[in-house]
Amino acid sequence: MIEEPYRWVEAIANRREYIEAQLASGSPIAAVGYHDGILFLTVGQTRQKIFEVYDRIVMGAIGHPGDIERLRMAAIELASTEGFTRAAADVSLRRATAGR
Amino acid sequence: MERSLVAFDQSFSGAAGDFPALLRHKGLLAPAAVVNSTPQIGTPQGTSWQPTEATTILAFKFSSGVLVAGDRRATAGNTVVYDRADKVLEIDRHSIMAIAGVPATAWEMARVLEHSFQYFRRTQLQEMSVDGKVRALSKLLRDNFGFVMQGVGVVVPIFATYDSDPKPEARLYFYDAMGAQFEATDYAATGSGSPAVRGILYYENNWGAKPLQKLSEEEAISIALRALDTAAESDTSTGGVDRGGKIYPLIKIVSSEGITTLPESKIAAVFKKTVA
Repeated sequence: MIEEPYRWVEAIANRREYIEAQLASGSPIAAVGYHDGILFLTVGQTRQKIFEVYDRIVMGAIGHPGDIERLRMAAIELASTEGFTRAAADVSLRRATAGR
Repeated sequence: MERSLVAFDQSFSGAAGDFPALLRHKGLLAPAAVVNSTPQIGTPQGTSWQPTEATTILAFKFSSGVLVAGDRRATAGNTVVYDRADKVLEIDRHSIMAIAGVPATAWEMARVLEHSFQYFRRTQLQEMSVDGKVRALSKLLRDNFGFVMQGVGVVVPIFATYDSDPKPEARLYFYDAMGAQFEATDYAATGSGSPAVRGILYYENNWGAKPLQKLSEEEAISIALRALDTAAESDTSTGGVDRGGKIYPLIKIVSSEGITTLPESKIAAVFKKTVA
């Protein structure tokens, strides 16, 4: 059987729709930049959603708690090892998000 | 190809171990040294190995917390290599590690410790307990003991911190090179100049104008300066107060508000008034 290209696009769209539907009920996280820094806030109080990652890095996430936890641990490990081998100032968000 | 230090690592999660374990996993920290019981040629083992901790560090509790003081001299054998060394190190907002011993190992330990506490707080979402912090340093010393037995890297630190749980109080610990921790009720001293300092602090605490724990900040600074000056009088490895170069010991205070590093002007003023 030949895979048709539009089916693939459709499959991705289906997944995106599914994920968006799953996340729709989650309470939002907002980040606002202002002259002294960045204000991170969320309204839900049942589960912590904003986490300290490093000196000047904070992570906020909604989604499956297991996924958030894995992402959070990976981010902390990455920032901590980099900050330990070099300096806190060398831990940059740009490199952390690029994963290298 | 060598993997980047900061590459996303899916196979390892620090939740299973502490920060030193993570560093070892990434090859960023020397593995815990094995204590070798068979003597080897070329090491001072079994001969006349003497621990050398050429410095003087003291710490005692006074009315508003713990005062930690250290001289500024760094030596290599008979040579003074540096006269502005910082041996009283801040680990977090309420903890100080003061070091006697080999600087390279001591500073690395301080660095590992500093990151360990932060790493714990970030991953476990709570501050590490004082007992946990004290134990973390003990473990680093234990891991290093193999190197100590090979004649390199001995470190004998003092750890001072302010505990808010269960009741707010300053806490002071000293260690031996193997990692045993001892909680000090009033004072602790380490380094080659420590016998003289211990004598002074014992005398002051028992027969002085008032016990150490009742001293005001200025009285505490005065006693710390006198003790370090006394240690420097007979110990060549202790800098004491350099009157010509105007180099004063480093003094930090841990209290409920956190760590205060005393400005040199204040130390100089107390020194002029009560010591010189």
